[in-house]
Amino acid sequence: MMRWHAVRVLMGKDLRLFFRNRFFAFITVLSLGAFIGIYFALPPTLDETLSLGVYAPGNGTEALLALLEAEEGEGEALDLRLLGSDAALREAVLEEQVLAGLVLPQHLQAALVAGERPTVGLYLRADMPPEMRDMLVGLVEGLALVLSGVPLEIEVHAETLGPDLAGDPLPMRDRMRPLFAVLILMMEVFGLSTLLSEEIVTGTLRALVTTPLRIGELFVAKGLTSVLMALSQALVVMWAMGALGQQPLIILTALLLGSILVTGIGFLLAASARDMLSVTGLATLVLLILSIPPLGVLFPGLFTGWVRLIPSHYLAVVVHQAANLGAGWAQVWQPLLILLGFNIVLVGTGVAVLRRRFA
Amino acid sequence: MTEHAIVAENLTYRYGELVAVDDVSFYVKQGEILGFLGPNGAGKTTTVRMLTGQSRPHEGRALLLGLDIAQDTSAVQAQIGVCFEVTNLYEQMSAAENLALFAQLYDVRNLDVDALLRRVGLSGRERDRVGAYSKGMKQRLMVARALAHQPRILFLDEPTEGLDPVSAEAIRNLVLEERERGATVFLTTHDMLEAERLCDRVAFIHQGRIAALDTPHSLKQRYGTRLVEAQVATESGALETRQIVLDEPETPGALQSLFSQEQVVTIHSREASLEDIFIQITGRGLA
Repeated sequence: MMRWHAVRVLMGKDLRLFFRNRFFAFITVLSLGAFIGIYFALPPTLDETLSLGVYAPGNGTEALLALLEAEEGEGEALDLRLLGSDAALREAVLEEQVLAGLVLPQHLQAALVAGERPTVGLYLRADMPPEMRDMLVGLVEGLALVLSGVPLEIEVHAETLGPDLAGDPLPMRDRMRPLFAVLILMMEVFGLSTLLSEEIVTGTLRALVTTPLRIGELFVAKGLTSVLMALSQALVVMWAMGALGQQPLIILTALLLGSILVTGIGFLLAASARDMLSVTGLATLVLLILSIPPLGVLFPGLFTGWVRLIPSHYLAVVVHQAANLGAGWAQVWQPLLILLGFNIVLVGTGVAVLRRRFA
Repeated sequence: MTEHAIVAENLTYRYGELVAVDDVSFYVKQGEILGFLGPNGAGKTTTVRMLTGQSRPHEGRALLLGLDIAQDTSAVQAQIGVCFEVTNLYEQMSAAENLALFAQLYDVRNLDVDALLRRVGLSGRERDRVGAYSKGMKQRLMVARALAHQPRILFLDEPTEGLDPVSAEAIRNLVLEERERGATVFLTTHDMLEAERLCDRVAFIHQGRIAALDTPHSLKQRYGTRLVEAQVATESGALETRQIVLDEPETPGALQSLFSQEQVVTIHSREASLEDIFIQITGRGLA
C-alpha cells in the first residue's frame, strides 16, 4: 500500500532542493519571462498586404493601372504605389518599402491588342519566396489577358477545408504556441534528470532506500514532482499567451500528458547520465529533437511523415488545433491517445532502466 | 522474542563473475557489537547492503529480528539505522532539515533535533548547510541520522574512516552508548584497535568468506603468541632487542639467563594484536 505521507515528504524535499539550486531557479524564471516576452514582442496580427511599386513611363499603360487600382480597391490585400522613375522603383524594392516593383512599358495596351509580346519588368526582393514570385507573375499575366481582350472564361470555386481563417489569419506568435509549450516542458527535463542523477551519484538515493520507503513510492514522488513543476510552468505560459481561452480542458489534458512525457524522458536521461554535464548534453539533444514537430506548425509543409515518430508532434498538433483553431475533443482525441501511448512506453522504460541502474 | 538480532545464512553475492560474498553465515546476538573486519574489497560493504535491503542476495537469506529482509524489507528497515561509508547527505539542506526529512520517512514524530545534534557534538550548527561542514562533522551527522528513530539494529560502515581523533572518539563513544541502550551494532572497519576496544566479537572477512569469528580475547588465545620484549645494552653501549616467547617449557630458563647475563634496560610483555592474527589467518594485512 502506497504511503502517501512519505511521497509528500519526498516531494517537499525535491521542490525545496529545486528552488535552492540557483541555476534551476534562474533558468526557470528566465525561460518563463523570455517565452512570454517573445510572444508579446511579436505582432498580434498577420500583415498579408502585397505592396507593389509601379513605374509606368509615357502613355498607353492607363488601362493596366486602372485594373491594378481596381484590385487594390476591392480588398486590403494589394497596396499600390506609383513611383516616378525606374531608379526610384529599384530603390523602393531594395529598401523593402515595397515587396516587388513593376515596370510597365509605353503603349502596353496597344501592343497587347496588336498581339505583340511586350516586356513587363518585375523587380523582386532577394528574400521573396518562389511561390510569391509565381503569384506576381500570374497576376500580371492575368491582367494582360484582360487587357488583350481575351479574358479567361473560367470560374474558380474556392472552398476552405477546416476552420476558415480568411480575413482573420493566424499570426506567427500564435503559431509558436506549440513550440513554447514543448520548450517550457523540456526545461523541466533538465531539472528532473539532474536532481535524480545527483541523488544517484551522491548516494542520497541509497540512504533513502534503507528507510521503510518503497522504491515505488520513490518513483511516484519523483514523477509527481516533475509533472507538477512542468505542468504548472506550461500552464502559466499558455495562460499568459491566451491559449486557454478556447478549449482549456483540452489544453490542460495535452499539457498534462506532455508533462508525463518529459518525466519519462527525465527518468531515462537520469539513468543514462553520469553527472550534470552528461545530463545537460543528452537533454539538449532531446530538446532539439522534440522541438522539430512544433516547427511544422510554424511552417506548414516543412516536414514529411517521419515527424509523426516524435512524440511531441502529437502535443504540438493538439495545442495548435485546440488553442489556435478551436478544435474540440472529436478532432484531438486520436493524437491525445497516441501521446498517452508514448507516455506509457517512455515512463515504463524510464522506471525500468532507472531501477536497473540503481540495483 | 528472538535471541539473535541478525542471522545470515549462506549469503552469496556476485558482480558478474566475481563472487564478492561467498556462502557467508553468522549471527549477531541482541545487544551485541559485532565487528566485521577485512581489507578493502573483502566483501564488507556488499554484506551490509544485503543485510540492509539495498541488494538482494543471489543465494542464502538474512533474518533481522526474525524477519527475512528480502520478504519484509520495509518492516525490517523501520527497525534499522544505517551509517554509510561514503558521505551521502543532502548538502543543500541544513543538518536539522536532513534529520527531519529522515525522521519523517521513519514516521518519527516530535524528533528532538537539538538533543540529537548535541549527542554527536554538532549543537549550534543545526541551521548551517551541510555543504559547509567538515568531513568529521558530516560523518557525525550521518551517525545522528542513523540514530534518529532509535533503531534496534545499527549498521555502521567504516564510521571513523579518515576522521580526526576527536570526531573518531565521539563516534566510538556513541557506539558504546547505543549498546547500553540495548541496540545491536554491526560495525565494519579495518581499524583493529577500534574493533578490539568496541566489539564483543569480531569476524575476519577475506575474499568474500569469513576466515574467523570469535571474541577478540579468544582469537588472541587461539592464534596469538605472547612475548616478553626486552631492550638490552651491549658492551659498546648500543641497544638491542630480545624477544622471549611465553607459555613454552624453556621460557623460565630464557628469562633467567636474560637477567643474569645481559644488562636489561626496558622489559615488557606484548600480546598479539588482532592485525597480527588477521595476517596469520589470511596471509595478508588489512591495508
